[in-house]
Formats: sequence, C-alpha cells, structure tokens
Amino acid sequence: MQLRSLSKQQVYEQLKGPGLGLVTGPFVFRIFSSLGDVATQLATLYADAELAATDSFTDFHVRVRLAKGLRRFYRPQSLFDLDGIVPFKPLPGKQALALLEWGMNWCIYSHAHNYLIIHGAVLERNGEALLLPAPSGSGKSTLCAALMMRGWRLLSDELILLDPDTGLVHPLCRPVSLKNQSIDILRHFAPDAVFTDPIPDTTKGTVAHLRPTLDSMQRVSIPARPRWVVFPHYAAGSSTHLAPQAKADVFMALVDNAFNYSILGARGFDALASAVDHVDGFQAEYSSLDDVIAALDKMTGVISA
Amino acid sequence: MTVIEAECGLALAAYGVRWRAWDDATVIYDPISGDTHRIDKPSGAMLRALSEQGAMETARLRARVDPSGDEAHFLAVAGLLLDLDVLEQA
Repeated sequence: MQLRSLSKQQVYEQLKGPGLGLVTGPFVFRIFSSLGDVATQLATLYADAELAATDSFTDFHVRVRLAKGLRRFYRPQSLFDLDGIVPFKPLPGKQALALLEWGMNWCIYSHAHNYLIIHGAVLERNGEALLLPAPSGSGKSTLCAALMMRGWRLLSDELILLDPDTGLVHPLCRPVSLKNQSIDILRHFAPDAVFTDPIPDTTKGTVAHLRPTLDSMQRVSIPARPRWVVFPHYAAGSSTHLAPQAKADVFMALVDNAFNYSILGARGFDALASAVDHVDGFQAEYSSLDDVIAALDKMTGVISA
Repeated sequence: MTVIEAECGLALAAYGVRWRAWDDATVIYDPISGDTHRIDKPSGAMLRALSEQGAMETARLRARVDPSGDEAHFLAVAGLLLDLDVLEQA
C-alpha cells in the first residue's frame, strides 16, 4: 500500500500516534511527529512510497518535534531524534521537514555499514548506474533532478549504497533536495515536477524538496550495476565538456566522498576497486542542463551518436 | 641493499595489504593505518610484478634487482612499504 492511499488527516494521525512506517529502499523508517506541516509535506513527497505495517520490523525510529517550554511560542525550534537521542542542534521550527530529511540521511550513513556509502547521486538507465559523487555546491542535485525529469531512474540524490558482496548499487529513492537558484531552475526546466514549498534561511540557504518520479518509486527494489562515474562541476558560462578520468583518480575521488570507507577497511577497498574496474570515469563541466544531459545521454548510449 | 626486497612479497600478503593496478596507476590499502595511497605507473607495475611472483628468495631477488637499471622503481615500492610501516627496516 502506498502513502497516497491515506488522506492527509490519516497521515497526520499516524505520525502523531503509532508512527508512519515508510519503506525507503532497503530501510524502514518509522516517523513520529505532531507537526501538521510535516504531515502535509511527507504526504506530498512520499506519495508513491510503500507503507510499512505497524508491527513490521523497523530500522530507524525517528521523531521531529518542537522544542518544549517557552520556545514553543517564541521563535520555535524543531528537534530531530533517533530512539530518543538528539544528535543535532535544533533548527528553526519551520525547517522541520529539512531537519527530518537530513536526519534520515544521517541515520543511514552513520549506521548502515553493510553498505559502502558514498556521498553522491545515482541514477539508472537500461540496468546500468550513473554515479555522480560530489560534495555540496557542485551542482550534483540539480543535475540529478534534471536527469530524473528527463527519464533517468532515480536511485538516490544523496547517498550511493554500494553492496560490497554483489557490487550492486541499491536505491533509496527519497526526495531530491534542491537549494537556492536550483529551485527556480528546476521549476522552469520541469514544470510538471512536484516540489514542497521552499524553506528559507537554512544553513544551506533556501531549500525545497522534489518528489521522485513514479517510475523511480515503482522500481525502488531493483538495484543497478555501476557503469559510469561522472564528477559534475557547474561553471557559469562554460561550454559542456566531458573529460575522461584515470581509474586511479576515480578511485581516490570515491574514497574522498565515502562516509564509511575507513570503517569497512579492506572490504571497502575491495568493493570500490571492483566497482572501478567496470566503470568509465569523467569530469563534467557545464552550464547548460540541456547540453550536459545530451552529452551524458550520448556517452551512456541512451541516444545514438 | 638489504633483505627488504625479499620480504616485500611476504609482507604484502602477511599484512593484508590490498592493491589494484590499472594502466595509469596503482592504489594501495594499508591495513595498519587504514590509509589508501596512489602511486604512479612504474612503481605500481613493479608492485604488481611482486604480487604475481609472491615471496622470492633473497638471493634470487638480489640477482634480478639492479638499483641503477629499469627495476630501480622497486626501491620506490620498498620505500613506500617502509613508509606504511608494513616493512621494518632491515
């Protein structure tokens, strides 16, 4: 059963009561909150996500709530907790959804060490995965969202989950987090895309979340094999250019972007080396989304040369 | 020259050193520090040769390593392994 089968009131009541069980790829989150805005935004963003039964196994019990006391009335603050533990400082009350999304990412990259987890986006076409590893500010999420709206299947905007045993990348298929000018760029690029209202003044600027495409959500259980690694770099005014990268450079850049490489040790090295054996790496410099998508489609064989 | 060279092949295996050689370079994982290093092509190729041959007898290894010749890169590999604390200075 998908979340869209519930009314917004039912979503709110589940969040406030037994918790809303959301299946996000290999993980089940049970989310608790009494914040009406959070219920509304979750109902929009996760409309096509599978619901987990109340008595099903849950990986992470998380809650987003307002801080108690006078704070509730004067500049309210929102708090995120995992099993009652608050790992972050509070954020302004209106940033509760962003805090929840960032907190859910934290749950995964801090605990799911059965995967090698790399900071980056990942999409798929024809069973082959395109990895976009990059730090914040590189244009990764903008490019990821644009590719998704042009038919690529979204596996993740933020966390690349590489299974060391199989070499496959597993989808999370959660909302794409867009920041500042990227929000309007994507609204113009994909008028049919579904966004939440922008949240201003976060530590990352103004943030809005984009709902994954239906196709991406429907195939959330299907992993993909890494085939390309592209390091995106938005440079205003530049022409689109894809520069091949040496495998050792690709490897070291993936290490730099990995959350838990040091925890996995030799197992992480072996997993990453095996992945790099089978990928082609590129540095992509661009300023036009249409141009870079055309170049990537051509490179990956989605359209003929 | 010491017996360092002969120990390289043994040490690579005994200490759980991982490496992968591609055309352009080799990456090495040091299990002691947890660090990963990238070394350039000549040294990487020599490391790969060592890995394929395994531990060699000292005399045999000495015979084939000419510090001034084409295999001088071997010394760079040995130096790297020393830096990684995989080998002890003999």
